[in-house]
Amino acid sequence: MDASDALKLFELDNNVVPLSESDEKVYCFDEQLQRDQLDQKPWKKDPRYYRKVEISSIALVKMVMHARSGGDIEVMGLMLGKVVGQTMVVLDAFALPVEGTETRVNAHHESYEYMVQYLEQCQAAGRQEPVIGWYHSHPGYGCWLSGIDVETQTLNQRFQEPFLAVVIDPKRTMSAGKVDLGAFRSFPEGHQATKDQETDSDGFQSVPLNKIEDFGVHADKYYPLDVGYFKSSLDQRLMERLWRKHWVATLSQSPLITNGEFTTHKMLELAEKINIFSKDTKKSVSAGQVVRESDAIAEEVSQGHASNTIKGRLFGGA
Amino acid sequence: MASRTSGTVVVHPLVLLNISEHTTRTAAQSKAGSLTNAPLVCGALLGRQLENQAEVFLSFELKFNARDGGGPAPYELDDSHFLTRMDQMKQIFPEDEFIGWYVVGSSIQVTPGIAVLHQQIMRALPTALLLVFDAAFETGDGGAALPLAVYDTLPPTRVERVKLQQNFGAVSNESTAAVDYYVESASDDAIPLEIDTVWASHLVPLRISIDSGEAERVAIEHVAHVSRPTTMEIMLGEESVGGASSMVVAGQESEQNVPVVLTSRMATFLSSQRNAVDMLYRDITVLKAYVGEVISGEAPFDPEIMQLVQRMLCNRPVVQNDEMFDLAMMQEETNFHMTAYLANITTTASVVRNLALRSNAALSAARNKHQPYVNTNREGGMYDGSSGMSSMFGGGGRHARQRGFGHFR
Repeated sequence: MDASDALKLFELDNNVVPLSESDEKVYCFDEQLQRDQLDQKPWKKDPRYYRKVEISSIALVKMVMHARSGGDIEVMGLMLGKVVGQTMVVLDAFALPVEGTETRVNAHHESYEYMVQYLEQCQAAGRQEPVIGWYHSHPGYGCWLSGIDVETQTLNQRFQEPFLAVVIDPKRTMSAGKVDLGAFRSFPEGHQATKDQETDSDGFQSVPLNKIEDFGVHADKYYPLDVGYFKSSLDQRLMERLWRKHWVATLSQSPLITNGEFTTHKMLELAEKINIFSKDTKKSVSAGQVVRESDAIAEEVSQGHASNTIKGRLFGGA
Repeated sequence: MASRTSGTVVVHPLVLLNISEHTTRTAAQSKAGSLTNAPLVCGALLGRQLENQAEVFLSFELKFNARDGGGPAPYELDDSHFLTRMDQMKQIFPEDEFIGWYVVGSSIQVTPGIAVLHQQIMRALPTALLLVFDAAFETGDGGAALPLAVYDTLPPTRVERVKLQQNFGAVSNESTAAVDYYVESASDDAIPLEIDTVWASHLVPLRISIDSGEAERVAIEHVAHVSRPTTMEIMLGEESVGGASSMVVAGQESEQNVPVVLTSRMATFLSSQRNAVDMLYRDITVLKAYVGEVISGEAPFDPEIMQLVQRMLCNRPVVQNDEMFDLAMMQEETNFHMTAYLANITTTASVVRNLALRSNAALSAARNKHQPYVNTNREGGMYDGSSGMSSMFGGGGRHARQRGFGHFR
C-alpha cells in the first residue's frame, strides 16, 4: 500500500468530525481577537463588566473530580480560557500540587514552577489559551469567598486581569447529586456596592454557623457571576453513546449511603440555626433560609428513599 | 470470537471527554488555519494495568514533530515533551502510569499510518494499549456502540510477512473481530528468521467497559443533561433566555434544564432513574428472546452466555426473605417519613409566622389610616375563623385602593 495513501487515511479529516460553527469559534483560540478585547480594559470602567461564565465539559469534570479527591481538605487549581464580550469562557482546568489551607494567601508561590512548566507543555501540544482564573474547593461549607480568598482574588485582579475565582463544594455536590459551583469576581478596593445592585445577602447559599461571620463580613466585596455549562457537538454525541453503558452506574448509586453522614450533619446545623433564630432578636439567620435548607434536606432524603424503593421493588419483590 | 477470551479494559468517561475535546480543538484550529502542530490527534493514556484488566483513568496530548524527508514515517514522537509531561502528571497522580496511547481517525480500523506510530510507542512500552477513536461515529450496531476500539499488544511472535500486509486492505467497520492486526517490531538481527517471516506483535481487541468514580459520575451526568451545546449566544455573551430553544433534546431524556428550581430536581432524578430502568428492561428482553430462541432451536447454544444468565438469576432472590433486610428497609422508610414530616412542620411554622407578621402589619397600617372604618372591638377576632380575617383584609384593601386612586388622579 502506498505510504502517502496510508497517511491520508490517518490524518484527521476535518469534514468527518461533527463540528458546528459555534464549536469552531469557541474552541479555537484567536490570539488577535483576544488581545483586542483585552486592550480596552473594560473592567476598569465597570467593575461588574463580566457577568457570565461558561464552563466546558472537561473543565467541569476535572474540577469536580479534583475537589472530591481532596476529601475534607481544600484543594486548588487553575483554569484556562478566554473572554468573549462580557462572558468568560473556561475551557480547561488543571490541578496544582499544593495542599491549600485557608490561612495561606500565597499558595501560588510553591506552585509557580509547576504552573509555568505546565503551561509551556500545553502551548507546545497545541493548547493556546492562557490562564483565566483559579478554582478551589470548600468541602461541606458552600460556595462563597472567605476573607483570605477575597484578598487573593483582589490581588490577582490587580495584576492578572481578567481573572476569575471559582469555588466548588464536593460534599454538597455528592449529596445533592448536582454540581455545586459558584463563580465570583471581587470589586476593586474602595468600591462601594450600590444598594440596587446588591444581591440578597444570604443569596443562594446556606452557610454553616461557624463560618457565617466570615461570610457576612466579606460578602459585599465580591459579586457572583451567572454560570452556564456547555459541551461541543462531539461531546454531545459521545454522551448519547456513553449513556448506553453508563446507566448501570446511575441505577446502582445509593445516595443514602454515600451521604448519610453529611445529611445528619446538615440536620444538626439546621437545628442550631433554628434555635438561634427563635432566641436571637438580631435575626442573623433568616426564616426563608431555614425553610429552604429544611426543604433541601428533605428533598435529598426523599430522592434517596425513592431510589431505594425502586430497587427494592425491582430486585427484592415477590 | 477473539474478544470473548481476551481481557477487558475499563475506560473512564473523563478520558473520552478529553479525547473529544482534543479532537474538537484540533479540528477547529485547523479549519481556522491556526494549527501549530501536525494535524494528528494523539495522546497518551495513563492508568493501571493488572494481570488481565487494564484501567484507563487519564489522558494528555502528545506532540509529534514532522520528520524531515517524509518517507514511511513522516511524524515522530517528541520524546522530551512526553517525558516532561509524564513527570508533571506523576506529581499529581502518583499512582497512574503510562499504559498506552490513543489516536483519533475516521474509523476504528488500525491503518498502516497508525501502525507505524505504534511501533514508536512500542519502543517506550512494549505492551502499550492502542485506543482508536472514531470521530465519524460510524461504528456498527446501528449507532449504539461507543465509537472506539482498544487493542492490546501481545509479545512478538514469528509472523509471515504476507499476513502483515494483507489485513490492512480490509476497511469495513463491522468486521473488527475478523481482521487480525500485526505490528512489526523493531528488527532484531541477532535472531535469524526464515524468509518471509518477521517479528510482529499481534494487536488483540479488548472488551471495553465503562466505570466511573462517584464524583466523575455526578459530573458526567451534569455534562450529559445540564450542559447546553455551544451556541452563538456564548459568542455574543448575551444572556440566554432559558436556553430551551437552543437545547437539543438528547435521545429519550426530556428533563427541563431550569437551573436550581427545587421542584424539577426531583423530576429530573426520577426520570433518570426511569431511563436506567428502561435500559435494564431492554437488556432483559433481549436476553429472554435469546434464551427462547435457543430453546426453540433457532439460535446456537453458547455455554458462556448461558452460564452468565444463570448466575444472574441465582443472584436475585438473596434478600427476599431476610429479616434483617426487611428491618433495615423499614428503618430507612421511617427515617424518610420523619424527615419529610419535620420539613413539613418547619414550612408550616414558617408560613403561619409569615401570615401573623403580615396580618399584624396590615392591621396596624389600616388602623392608622382609616380610623372610622376599622372596628376596634374586633381586635381579638383576628384569628377567629377565615371570614373575619378576609373581611378585615378585604375592607382594608378596598379602602386603601380607593384612597390610592384618589391620590393619583
